[in-house]
Amino acid sequence: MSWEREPLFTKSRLFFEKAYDEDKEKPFFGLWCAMGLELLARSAIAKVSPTLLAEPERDHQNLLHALNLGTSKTQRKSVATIQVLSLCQTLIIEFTDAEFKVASAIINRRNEELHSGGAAFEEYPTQQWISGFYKCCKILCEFQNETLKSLLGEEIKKEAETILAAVAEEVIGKTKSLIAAHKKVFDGKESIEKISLKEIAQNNSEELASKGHHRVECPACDCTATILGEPYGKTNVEHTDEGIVVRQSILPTKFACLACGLKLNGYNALSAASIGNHYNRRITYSPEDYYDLINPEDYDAIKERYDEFAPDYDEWNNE
Amino acid sequence: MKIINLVKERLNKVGWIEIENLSTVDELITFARSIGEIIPHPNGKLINDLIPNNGQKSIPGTFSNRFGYGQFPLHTDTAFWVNPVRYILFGIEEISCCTTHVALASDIFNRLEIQDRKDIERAIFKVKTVNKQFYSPLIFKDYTTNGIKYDPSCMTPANKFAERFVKNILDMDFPVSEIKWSGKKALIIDNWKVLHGRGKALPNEKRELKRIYLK
Repeated sequence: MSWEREPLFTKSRLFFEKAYDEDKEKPFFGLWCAMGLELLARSAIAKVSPTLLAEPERDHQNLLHALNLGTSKTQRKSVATIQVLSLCQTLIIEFTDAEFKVASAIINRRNEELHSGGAAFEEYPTQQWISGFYKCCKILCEFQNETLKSLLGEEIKKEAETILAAVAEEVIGKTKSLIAAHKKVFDGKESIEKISLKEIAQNNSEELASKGHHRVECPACDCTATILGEPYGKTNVEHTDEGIVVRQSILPTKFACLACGLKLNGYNALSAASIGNHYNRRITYSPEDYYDLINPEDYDAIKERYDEFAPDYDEWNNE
Repeated sequence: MKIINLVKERLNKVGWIEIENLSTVDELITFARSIGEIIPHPNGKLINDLIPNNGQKSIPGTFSNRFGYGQFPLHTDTAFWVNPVRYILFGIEEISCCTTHVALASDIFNRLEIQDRKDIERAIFKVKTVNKQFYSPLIFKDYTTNGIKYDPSCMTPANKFAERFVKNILDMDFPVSEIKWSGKKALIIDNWKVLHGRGKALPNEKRELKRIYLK
């Protein structure tokens, strides 16, 4: 068993070839695609290090195998696919919650297809998942300096790009319509109401900003709105005089404006609205909060912590 | 220093280079170290002695086993590694009538039909040795450099593009250079650009070719 990037990537190419030898509406197309996607995700993780694919265990036998130092006496075991997808979400900025959900859904169908008597992909038509699948493939390829062409070949790459472009265009179209509709409604309100809503939105944004939200100007009504996102990359921790400052890069994925009611979901929609810039979240903690310390004279806090760890102590006990 | 730079430049341009007046093992090692880092063979040796034999005691499937004293097909050395070794230094003190054949991968590719040339990037092989097996592309990438990996002793086609390449390489004419071992001579080849093979060996001739792998 090889956990190195290139053999995994090459095998995923082979599986996709098998998939495209099938009729796209037939279940075997989905099954081969799902298995190819799993290998592709594993190869992306192996790009960081093959050791991440080793199932953790006490004797480090799997880890030794990943380092090509294992013995043939022990079977190597790799981490479950769902964990691989979680790692993708952690390590690959563009692999957001949306991609995790798409990939998980395809992998779950694969499990159902292989572990049950049901016709899993028969009930999951290709058109339902193909665009999300191509998006995942593109992200996973680019992360390991590969392309859709090197994965799927020139012809299928063109098809994939056409589908992805259509989806992107659809997202842009829907987002623009949504913004225009909210702008129209907001502009139609009385001036006094607009001023009031703007003030409410401003106050709300300031409050949310202290809870990790990011403030932006609403693309529909120009009031102050907020963005939430998914953290990625390394967390920077700095000990300063004002406390412990934690900085984290965020990929924006959710937008909400209290003034006009516009809500957008997904990085693509936010990008289409020109509010998709990545940002840094800065949170200052007190040393007590950051390290979860308790003042030895604060009996309430001690009791609270005690109850947290030993909630059953006072339960009825007929000893 | 200038000579080494010239050697490297020529290796980069032509894919192999013959060096005269290198005979002892120490001279070979010193020269090898000036080109790159020496990598031991999986058997642990820095220098391997390649001595033709009838192949009866060789590992089944290897060229020695299959061809004995006969000609060895063109191949990539260490194709059973995910990234084969970059350079190989061969050296021999004696004169031998057993030649070494070298062919540039680009010369092979240039003789392919346009579609076949495009398809080589899609060719996938299964690499199988006694200890391991894995899938490998014919053209592998190492950061910015592409290399060819092909060894019919341990690689079997895993898709139609690989099958087509194997058929082409067997049927096609392409330039192959013959390196003659005229004594106190060394040869370095870029293993990522050049396929090499051995000519017929004589059972009664003493031919002890030294081989060093270089990063």
